[in-house]
Amino acid sequence: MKLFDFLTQTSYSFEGKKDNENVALFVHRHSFTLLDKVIPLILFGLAPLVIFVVFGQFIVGNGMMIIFLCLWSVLILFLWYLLFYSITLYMLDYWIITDQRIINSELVGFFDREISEVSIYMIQDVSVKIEGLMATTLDYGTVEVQTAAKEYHFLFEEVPNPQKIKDTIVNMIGVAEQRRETKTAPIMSAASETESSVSENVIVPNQDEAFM
Amino acid sequence: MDQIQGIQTYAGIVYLFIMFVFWLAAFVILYHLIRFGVGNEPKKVSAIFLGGSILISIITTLFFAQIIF
Repeated sequence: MKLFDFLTQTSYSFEGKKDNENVALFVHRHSFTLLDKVIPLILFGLAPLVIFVVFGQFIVGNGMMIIFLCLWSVLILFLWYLLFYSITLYMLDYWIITDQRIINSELVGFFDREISEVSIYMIQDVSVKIEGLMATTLDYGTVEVQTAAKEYHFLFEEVPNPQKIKDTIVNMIGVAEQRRETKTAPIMSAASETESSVSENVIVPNQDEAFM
Repeated sequence: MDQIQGIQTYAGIVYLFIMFVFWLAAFVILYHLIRFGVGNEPKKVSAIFLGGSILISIITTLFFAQIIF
């Protein structure tokens, strides 16, 4: 076993993943949404270079070069942290589509996570919304999942390839329906056999109970 | 002479404070990425962050050392 295997040998496992659950899709926001946070940091990091070009002679002439370099390195340290803070928020804001449910994990801030999920059986409608020039050009948008509870919407915001995500959800609903039918068939046939052969007092579990 | 020693002491305290706060905050980022990240990407990102942090810390230390010592 190599030392850095843990970097490449990790599967899409997550907290609370069931044994018989298969991940169909793992989605982040579009990487373009990260750019508007990263670009200002890069520009800010280069600002001391402009200051040095303008006030270089003054800084060197007064023997303040080392102080200038110290301050610049501290600024870079601070910006490095802010860069990875943004990347961490981006990476820990994700959606997982499995064959049983959809999970959304959002990191609002450090030690402040929100996790919500919806059962695939509860989904009634899936729609895609792509608004704006950048969204159309870069192909990102919002996927809205309407559940049986009418007031509850499950949103995939600013996700890449929204059409593909919609198709995956629809496929997973189909798989779930098939699974439900295959589970129901033996119960229903057993029920009909029991009804015909045994007395009328036999209680046959209804569908809802069978899935508990 | 006393003034130079004062600057050196002040720079040393500032350096220690910056390093302490940075590595505490860095630990929080590393913890979140490794503990809550799903898949390979967060682990790779945390390794890049750790490597970069060590490098920038060394550079900062070298600059501050010229003031302190």
